[in-house]
Amino acid sequence: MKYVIIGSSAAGISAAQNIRQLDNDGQITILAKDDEIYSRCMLHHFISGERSRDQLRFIDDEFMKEHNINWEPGTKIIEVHESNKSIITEKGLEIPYDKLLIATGSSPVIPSIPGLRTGKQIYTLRNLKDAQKIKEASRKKTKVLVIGAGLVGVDTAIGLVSQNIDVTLVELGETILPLQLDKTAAKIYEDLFIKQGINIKTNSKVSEIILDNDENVKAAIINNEEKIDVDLVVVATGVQPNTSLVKETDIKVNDGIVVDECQQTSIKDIYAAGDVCQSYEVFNKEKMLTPIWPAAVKQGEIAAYNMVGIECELVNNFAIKNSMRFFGVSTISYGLTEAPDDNYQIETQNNANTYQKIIHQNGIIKGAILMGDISNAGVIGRLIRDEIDISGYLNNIFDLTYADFFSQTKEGKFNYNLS
Amino acid sequence: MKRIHIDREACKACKNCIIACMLQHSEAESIHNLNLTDINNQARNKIVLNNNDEVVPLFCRHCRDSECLTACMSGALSRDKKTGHIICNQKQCVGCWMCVMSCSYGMVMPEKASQERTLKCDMCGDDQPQCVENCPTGAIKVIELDMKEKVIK
Ligand SMILES: Cc1cc2nc3c(=O)[nH]c(=O)nc-3n(C[C@H](O)[C@H](O)[C@H](O)COP(=O)(O)OP(=O)(O)OC[C@H]3O[C@@H](n4cnc5c(N)ncnc54)[C@H](O)[C@@H]3O)c2cc1C
Ligand code: SF4
Ligand code: SF4
Ligand code: SF4
Repeated sequence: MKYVIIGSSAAGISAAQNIRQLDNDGQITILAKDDEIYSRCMLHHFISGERSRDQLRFIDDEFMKEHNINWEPGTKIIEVHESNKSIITEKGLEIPYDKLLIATGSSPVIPSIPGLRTGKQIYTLRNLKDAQKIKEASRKKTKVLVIGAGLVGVDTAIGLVSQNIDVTLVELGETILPLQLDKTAAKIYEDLFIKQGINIKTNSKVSEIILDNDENVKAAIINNEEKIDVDLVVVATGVQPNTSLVKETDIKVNDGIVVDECQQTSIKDIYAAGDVCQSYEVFNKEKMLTPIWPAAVKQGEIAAYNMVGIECELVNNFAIKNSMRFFGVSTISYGLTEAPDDNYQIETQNNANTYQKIIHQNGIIKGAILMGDISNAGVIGRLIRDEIDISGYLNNIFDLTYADFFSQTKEGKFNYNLS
Repeated sequence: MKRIHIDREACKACKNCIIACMLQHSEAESIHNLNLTDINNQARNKIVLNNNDEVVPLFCRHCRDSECLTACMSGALSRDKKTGHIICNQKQCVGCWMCVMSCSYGMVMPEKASQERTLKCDMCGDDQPQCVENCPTGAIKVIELDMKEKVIK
């Protein structure tokens, strides 16, 4: 059996590892545009200098050898030929497969703002090369504009400010991290970031990047009125799945490649996993992009089982969750961050170092923000994922631990039961 | 694979297991010079009261299908090839808390002293788990699971 995997990140590596565990003899090939294997989630730590290039790896150096995988770095795939069961590399090489996994992830989107697509010092942060370029450029440049205050934008801003670089973070929304936090939690971080030297402009739109005659970045116009001097721009306004290689096929693509519960695409023997695909999300109860690391790993694993012929479905695909730690303040959030209407109840608890909020409806938790104290967050996450009715526990909703749901099989497997 | 089995009703909340865990991971040679108030001595297990005021001892169960391992984006968490236990390499951990977000049982926790690394049960490096060794009531026991059995979801 010839297993071919495109992409060597969370989803691709997880799939390869699982295929090898299940099929000792199959041929496994991983092809990737990336030149090496690293966790993109740590790229901001590379920019800040906290981690070396080697420390970005998330698997052992011996992984490919140990798992007997043919690893082809620096190989871009441009087409999938489903009728021939083969894929085509940028250099025109045709590679046959029996089972194919597309785990090509996603890429940053650059909005159409004058100057943003033509300026020389415009960067995004997705690949190691991007991080290297930003790090290199930031040695010379001192005024950086980060567009977008989602997790990647904030990570980048912190990575840069820790090197005494002047950073301005611009966000369209009312607060930073608008998708991950409510206004109260976001405000706590904003105050902290300002203290640490990051300039923050919320409710703000970059209307233009001003370039000189050689297309070097000179300044940015914010909200059509304010001009700030900048010499480097990092765009962090979101990502979109890398689906261009299946453009010419019949593989169904909406926002991402649409997969079934077995991670199979609309074409037999072609699977997709990770940021590139759209799978059934249990919280929203619809097929959508689930662009987080754990979802990619899990989907890669499910794809692997099905690729070797063991039928198995993705369950508990809950990806509306975020964890973060900025300047020593940790937060985990799940589901809704604000109540959509009056049919929800909101509980909050504040003290000097913590802010906790839980949104629930008829005993079912629909969202939580746990800032400062995250020690039992995973329990809340599970209650949300499984829609466990906690009506009887509302009095100590902030003190729930697994003790309240403890039950165990003979084999020591834990279950969730109301005590 | 060794796993700790919990007999909730037998637990008398003496917290010997907690002290044993602290001691195992500290510099102190014996319980007599173990500083219980030093946050560097953090236990990896918990004794918690539930909603009915009953005592529940909680230990990492080194899940077959471990959500913490799936979530770890740095490679700090891994499954030991020999023992099957989920081990944290603190040097590789970046403190992103993806694991804390993902463990439904609250058994992987931020290290109190640093607040930037994860701490979890390491099964005492596959020797006799010290918590079990020091439990006077038999509320926790080591059981042996068949590792070869594949998890089919
Ligand atoms: C700075 C940063 C911080 C992040 N932090 C977190 C975090 O804390 N927690 C979290 O859950 N998520 C985080 N993420 C998101 C996380 O990195 C992704 O969800 C995860 O990497 C998805 O894995 P993947 O395998 O689907 O795809 P990717 O990681 O995007 O990898 C895609 C792979 O496919 C290859 N590829 C792409 N196109 C082609 C092609 N045409 N031909 C051949 N190969 C190709 C690439 O080279 C790469 O190897 C972060 C992302 C960034 C950028
Ligand atoms: S920390 Fe939690 S998820 Fe990880 S192995 Fe232990 S019990 Fe399982
Ligand atoms: S906090 Fe550490 S151990 Fe936990 S997921 Fe992040 S890197 Fe892995
Ligand atoms: S097995 Fe060892 S590390 Fe784990 S809880 Fe018991 S004493 Fe602590």
